[in-house]
Amino acid sequence: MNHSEVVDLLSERLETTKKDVTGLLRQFSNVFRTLLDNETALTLPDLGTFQTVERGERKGYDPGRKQHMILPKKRVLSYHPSEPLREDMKAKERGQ
Amino acid sequence: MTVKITYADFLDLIAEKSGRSHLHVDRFMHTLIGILHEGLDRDGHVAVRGLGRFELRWQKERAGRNPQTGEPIDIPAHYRIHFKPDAELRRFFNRGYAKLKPRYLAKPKEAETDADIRPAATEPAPAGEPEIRIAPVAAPVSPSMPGGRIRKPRFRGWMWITASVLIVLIVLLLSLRKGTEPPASRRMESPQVLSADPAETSVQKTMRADAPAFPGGSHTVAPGDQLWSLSGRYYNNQYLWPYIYGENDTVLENPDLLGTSLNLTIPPLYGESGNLTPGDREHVAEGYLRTYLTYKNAGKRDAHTYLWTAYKLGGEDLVRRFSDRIGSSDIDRVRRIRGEPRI
Repeated sequence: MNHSEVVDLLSERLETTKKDVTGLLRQFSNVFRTLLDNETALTLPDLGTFQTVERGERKGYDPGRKQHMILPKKRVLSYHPSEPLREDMKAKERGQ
Repeated sequence: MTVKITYADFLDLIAEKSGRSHLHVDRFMHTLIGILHEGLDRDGHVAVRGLGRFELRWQKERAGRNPQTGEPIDIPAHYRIHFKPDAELRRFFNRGYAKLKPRYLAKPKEAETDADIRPAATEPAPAGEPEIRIAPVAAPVSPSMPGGRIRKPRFRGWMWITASVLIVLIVLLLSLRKGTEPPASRRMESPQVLSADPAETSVQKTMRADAPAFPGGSHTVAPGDQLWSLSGRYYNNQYLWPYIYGENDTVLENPDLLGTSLNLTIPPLYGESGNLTPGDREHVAEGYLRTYLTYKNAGKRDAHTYLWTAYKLGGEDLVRRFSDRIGSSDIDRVRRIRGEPRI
């Protein structure tokens, strides 16, 4: 499912315009990134927990140069799916 | 330090920014999450711009362990829910680190490994067997072929295997003949072969009856070394470690703690482990006795067990020699314990 399908479904179910939905989505995204950027963990019900963590230096390999290297530290987003979502996906497994 | 924000506070923030009611935003979020569920269920992936892409990834069955009890369990195959943030979002979070670049580590020298292979192929030639002379004959042929450079090391590796098999055969033949009548010309060859391959020297050593099982030597302590491990390595019996300690008790204060890069003397052992010669028994007994004295001074509770082994191996003679340093209660106690040490 892609972004436009999500927007279509949202406007249909909330009975508003697509423009309205896109605006709310943008606000959501802005608040989301601002919070996470300030090292705040955020849990959305039935979806999961989002948080940013620093990933330390690690060893890597450059196959082009055939050389080992140390990749620098990095800030990444970590996501842990919530239990209800995992249960849903288990149900999907059983259905198959 | 990570803090948490409640869902209600999060909704309030969005409501404030967008000028909508809390209730409206709540309804929006629930509908959005519902749609995300549907998307994952239907297609296995959902993408939302400004957020990222949720995706189901099939995780195969794998072996795991119960983190509480440590017992192995099979984790059945299942879907893993993976979330990849938008490229823009990733850049945003990582902007403080973006200037960091990977550091390349030193390149492994390929020229050296190449050089290592070359003498290996020429080395068997001095052994003087007619079959081995194939090596110099075959070598000039390969460079003329296209891609000969790649083929050459492979061919040499094959040569080296046949050459080492031949050497093993020669050594076996030599050791068999040595028992009956050693011809002078063969004798000239044998030291060459012995120096060529260290694996063969051990074969030769066990064949000779009069030679010590371990001729003695020295050992530089590496991290992770323990006396018992050294004893196991050199004597094939870890219980002989007090023997090594007895020889080194001037440099070693505590037999349980080895200082790295310390140089230890490994005394010779003439008998096999399990079948010590009388001389060995005497030396080992003294080692056990010195270990006992050290442990007794350190106040170790089971120190007398070392005295017991020393007493069983060395007898009253040894006890008399050290009588001024052995505790009288300890020796009385040890005399009463029956059995034989398994060394």
